[in-house]
Amino acid sequence: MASEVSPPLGLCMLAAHVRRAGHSVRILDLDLEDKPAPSPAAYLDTFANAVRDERPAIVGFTSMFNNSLHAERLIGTAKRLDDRVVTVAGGSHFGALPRRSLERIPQLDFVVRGEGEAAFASLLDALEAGKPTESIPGLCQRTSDGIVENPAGPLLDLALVPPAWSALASTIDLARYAATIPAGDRGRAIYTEAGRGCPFSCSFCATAPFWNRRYRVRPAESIVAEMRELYEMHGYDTFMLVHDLLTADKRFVDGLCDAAFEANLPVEWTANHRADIELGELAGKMRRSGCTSVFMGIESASERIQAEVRKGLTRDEITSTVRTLHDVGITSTCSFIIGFPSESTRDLSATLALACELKMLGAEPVQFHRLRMWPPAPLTTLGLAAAFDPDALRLEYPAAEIPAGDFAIIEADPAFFAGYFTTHSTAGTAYQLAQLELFFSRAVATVPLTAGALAAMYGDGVVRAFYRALDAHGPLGREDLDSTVKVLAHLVPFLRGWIERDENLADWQRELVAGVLEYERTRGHFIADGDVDAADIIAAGARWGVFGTTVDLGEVLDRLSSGAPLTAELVRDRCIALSRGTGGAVRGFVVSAAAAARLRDGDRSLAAVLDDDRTGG
Amino acid sequence: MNAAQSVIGYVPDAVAKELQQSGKIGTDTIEMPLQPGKQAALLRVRHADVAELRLGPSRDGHTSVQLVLNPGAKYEFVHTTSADFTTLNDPGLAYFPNPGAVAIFIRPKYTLSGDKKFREVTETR
Repeated sequence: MASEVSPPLGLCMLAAHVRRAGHSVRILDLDLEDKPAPSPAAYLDTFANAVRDERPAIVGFTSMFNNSLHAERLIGTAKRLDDRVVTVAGGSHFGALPRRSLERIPQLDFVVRGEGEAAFASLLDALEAGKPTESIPGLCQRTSDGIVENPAGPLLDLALVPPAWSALASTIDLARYAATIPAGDRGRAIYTEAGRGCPFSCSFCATAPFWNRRYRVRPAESIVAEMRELYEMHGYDTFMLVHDLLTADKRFVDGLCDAAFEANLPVEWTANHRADIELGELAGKMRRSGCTSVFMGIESASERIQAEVRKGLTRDEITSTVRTLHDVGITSTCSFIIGFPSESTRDLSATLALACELKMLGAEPVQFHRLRMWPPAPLTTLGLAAAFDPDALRLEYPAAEIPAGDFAIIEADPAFFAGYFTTHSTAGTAYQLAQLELFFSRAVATVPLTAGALAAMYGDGVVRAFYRALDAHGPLGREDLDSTVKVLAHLVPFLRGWIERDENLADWQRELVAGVLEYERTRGHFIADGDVDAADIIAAGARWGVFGTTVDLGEVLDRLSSGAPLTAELVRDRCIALSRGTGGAVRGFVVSAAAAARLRDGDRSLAAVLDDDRTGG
Repeated sequence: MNAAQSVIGYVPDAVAKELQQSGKIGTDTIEMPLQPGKQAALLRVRHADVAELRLGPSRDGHTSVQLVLNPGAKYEFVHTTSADFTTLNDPGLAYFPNPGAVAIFIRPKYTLSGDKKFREVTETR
C-alpha cells in the first residue's frame, strides 16, 4: 500500500518566491508522481517525460542527503535531453556542499548555497535578461578562474515571504497529496512554515548553521491566516509548524496562541521544542490553542555527552518537561542519537533507560537515530575518521531494492555522500549500533515494559547484554520488523532467547522479564487482531479477554514510571483484562482474584463492565 | 474577544432546569459527568471558579452544560472505576489520555451576578 506523501514545503516556498518575482514555475514532485508504482528507475522516466513535454529553460533540483544520488542522475538526464537547459541545485545537501557538488557533477551549472529564495530569483532574473551571474550573492558556479563561491546575501525577512500554499493554489494540487493519506487516519496534516533558525550550537546539527543560527519567524497572524485557508479550502486540520526551534522565543509563541484563539479554528498544531526551555503556564496555553504534540531532541542521558556535543540538557530537565507537557495534554516526541564518537556502552545504557522512562511518562513516539555526518554540522569539520555504513542506506530505503552499484558509488565519495558515513564510536561497532538502533526502536515502541525492565535490571550493562544476545541470535533484518505483527514474531523469540541464555540474570529476574514479555506479546496480538492469545485464559467476550499473568503488572508499571527498583516479590500471579472499546481503543485492567473467579463462572454483570466503553480511567 | 477556558459536561434535564434558575449544582463543588448518564468520568470544579454558564441541547434526558472558568481556575477530572478492575496505565495501550482543556471564544450568555447567581446577559452594541 502506498504511504502518505507530504507536499514539498521547501520547494513550494521557493516556487512561491520566484513566481512573485515574475517567473513561471512548474513543480515536479517525483515522490508523489512515482508513489503508486515505485521502482528503481521509474522516477527517471517520469522526469524525462516531463522535460520533453514542458521544454523548460531552467531546471532546478533539490534533494536531501538521502536522495542526492537520485538527484545527480536527474541532472544528467536533463542535460542529455537538451544541453541548452540550465541546471541549478540547492537545498540541504547541494546547498551545504556547493563546491563539491560542482566538482562531482559536470552537468550541473549552478548551486545555490544556504537559503535559496533570493539567490535563485536573482539567477532567474539574470538568465532571462542575459546578464552576468558572477556577482549574485549565494551562488556557486564555474568561471574561467575555476569554481567560485559567492558569499551568501542577507537572510530573508520572513514577514515578506508569501505563504507557500496560498501562493501556489493553481500550481500544486493539494488534493492529490490528500488522496495519499491512508483511509482511517484521524485528520489531514500538512507542513506549514513558521520560520527558520535555531540559536543553539549543537555540534551534530546541520540545520542550525544552514540558517546561520538566526531565529526568524513569520508573523503569527500570517501563519494562522494560512492555517485558516488550508482548513477552509482543503480540509487540513493538523498543522506541523516547521521551525528548527519555534519555542526559543516564548513571547512569539504566546502571540501565536493568541492569534489561534482569535481565529477559533477547530485545528491542531505541532512544533519543535527544547527540554530546557521552561514553558510554565505557556504550555497550557499552547494546548488550549490547539498544540497537541512537540518534538524534542533529547540525544543522550549522559551529561558528559550532552556537554561534549554542546547540547547541555540535564536528566531532570528532560523528565520534568515531558511530565509537564503530558499533564497539560501535549505529547512529547523524544528523539535520541546513538553512536557519538566518545560514547561508552555505559552512556548508551543510560540513554536507553531514559528512553524507556520517558515512554512510561507518556512520550510518544520515542525515536533512536544513528549519528550521521551531515554538513555543515560542526562535527563534520573535525576530521573524524568515518566509514561507509551500508545499513544507513538500507535505513533510508527500508522497502526498496537498492542496486548493488549504488553502494559502490556512495562508498567511493565520502565528501559528497557524507550522510551515509558514520564515525567510529566507543559504544560499539557500526554493525552493533545499527542492530541496537533497530532493536530498541521497535522494542520501546511495541514492548516498552520489557525494554524498561531489562534497562532497569541490567543498569549500565544493558548495552553489553544486548550485544551478547545479538551474538547468540544473529542479526535482525529491517524487513522483518516493519509491522507490529512482524515485530512480535521476530522480537519476542529474540528476547526469550536473551532472557533464557543470559547467566547474569537471577532466576526471579528471568521470570519477571519473561512474564512481562508474555503480557506484551498477548497485548500486541490483541491490539493487532482482537484475539486473546494467552496460555491461561480465564474468560473472554466479543471485545475483551481476561487471562492470568505471572507478574504483578500494575506494580511493575508504577515502579518503572517512578524509577523504583524491580524486586523479586513482583513475580506473583495476577489477572489481567484487555478490552476493546467501540472506537477501537484498547484498555487494560488488573482484575481482582474474586472478580476473575466470578468471570470464570460466567458473571454477566462483571462482563458488562468490561463491555462498557467508559470503564476505568 | 478574550480567550476563556471552558469545560463541558452533562446533567439530567431536571438538574439543568434547577441550574438555570439557581445557578448552582450542589453546595460548594460542581460534579458533572463527561458523558450523558455515565458516572465513570466526572468533572469537578468549585462554584467560585466558574465565571459563566451555558446550557446546551438536551438529548435522552441529559442537557449539556458548558462552564466558562475564571482565569487560573482549578478543575479536576475524576475517573471512577469498579473495585474489581484497576486500570493499567500501560503506554503500550491507548489508555485514557489527559484530556487537556478546550478553549472557546464566546460572548457571555450567563454571568455571575452580585448575589452569586447566574444571570442572562443582554448583549448591547
